[in-house]
Amino acid sequence: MNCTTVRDLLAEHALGALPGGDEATVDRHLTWCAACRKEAGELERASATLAFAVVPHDPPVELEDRVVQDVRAAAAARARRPASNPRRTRLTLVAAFAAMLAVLGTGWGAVMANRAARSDRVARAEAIKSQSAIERFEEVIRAAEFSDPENQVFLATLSPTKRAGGGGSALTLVSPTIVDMAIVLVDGVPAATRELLPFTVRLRGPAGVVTVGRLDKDGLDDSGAGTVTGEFADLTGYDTVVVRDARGRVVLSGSMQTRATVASPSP
Amino acid sequence: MQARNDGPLLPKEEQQLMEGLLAGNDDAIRALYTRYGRPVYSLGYRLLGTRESAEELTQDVFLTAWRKAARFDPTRGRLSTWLMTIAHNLAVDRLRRETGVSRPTLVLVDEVPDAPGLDEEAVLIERDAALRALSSLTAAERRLVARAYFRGMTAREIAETDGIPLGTVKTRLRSAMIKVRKANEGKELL
Repeated sequence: MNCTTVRDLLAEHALGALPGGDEATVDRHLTWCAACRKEAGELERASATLAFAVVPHDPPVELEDRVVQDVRAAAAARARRPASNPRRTRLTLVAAFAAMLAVLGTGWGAVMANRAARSDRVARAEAIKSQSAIERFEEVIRAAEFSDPENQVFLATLSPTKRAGGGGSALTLVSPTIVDMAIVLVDGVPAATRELLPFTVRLRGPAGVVTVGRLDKDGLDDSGAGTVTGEFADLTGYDTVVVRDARGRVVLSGSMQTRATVASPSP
Repeated sequence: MQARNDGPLLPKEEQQLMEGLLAGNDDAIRALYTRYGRPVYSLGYRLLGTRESAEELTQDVFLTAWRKAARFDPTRGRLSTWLMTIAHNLAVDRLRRETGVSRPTLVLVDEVPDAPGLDEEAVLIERDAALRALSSLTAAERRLVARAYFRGMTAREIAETDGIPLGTVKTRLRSAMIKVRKANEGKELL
């Protein structure tokens, strides 16, 4: 669905008058298109005004206490969870992600699309290993510290520009309850390309560009592999990963795609 | 936490209120409820048709607001907009989920409470804005907006129910929302 089609649907989207399928399609478009998201936001503000047009009714007096109890209980339950140590959380995620990529080899995209499926026994064995790695990764995503059903995980396969070589993968975790994270792994960067270190790894999104980190000679091993991670307040809509060399030329890039998401009412 | 109950909140005050909500602070939850409990409940009652459903919706809305509190950004929009959008989305989800639900007859604002309390000042400002927006629409646009927003009907359902071409419904909804947006330009600056 392109911007013109989406714009035609934004009034209905703001009014809640789109059928589920169209609504999901528009929502997906809005995660990466800042211009349409701005328009959608203005129309949502307008539609929210309408909510105040109904005849007022007094809720029962005891409803206030029920609301307070609900929220207090939820907050207390969250407080009882094991404390989320940001560093440990990040390392856990990096380890699981790296382990999955190590098994998948070709990148998650090919396996997810079943393009890696072959009929011979070796391929089946590889597929089982791949599936197992994916399941282990998903177990981590479902673990307590990532357990909010509204967490969203986005993955990208990074492709090299013509002369740069190498490749990589990226993951962003967008969460309403814990800090958002970005993990970018690069691999197989040729020696010639490594002469132009440090690399700068950035994410592009609705509010501009954020830097995930830099890779210098200490950050890349002999095979040209390295990892950068970053924590951010909000990575919603950050959909493009770009790795540039010391001269500012693009070495690797890729687009984030949804890996796991649970439908939820916006905002 | 001390939150004013009268007049619109400043972005900084909204942020503090949401931080208090996120922490499960009693005063913050009650301050938020005092301001928005009644509009949320009223919207739920109008969309869902029963007091029980409206009560459940109100509880769901504040719990959802707590879950999403960390995402609230006062620089992107006002708290009332954010909260009422949650309320409307949850109500429409429920309307569509509950098959066979009898959609209540629509009644828009036709009266203002005789003696509104001081704590309702901010809500009255919102209601003025809502009335202003609705009065900018033609009767046909108002009817379609009401069917979409307050009855949770899709454009196709409206077209089939009213015997109007789908394209006409979509065009009228779009022109209506542009008018509503125009009627409220500058409102975010309050």
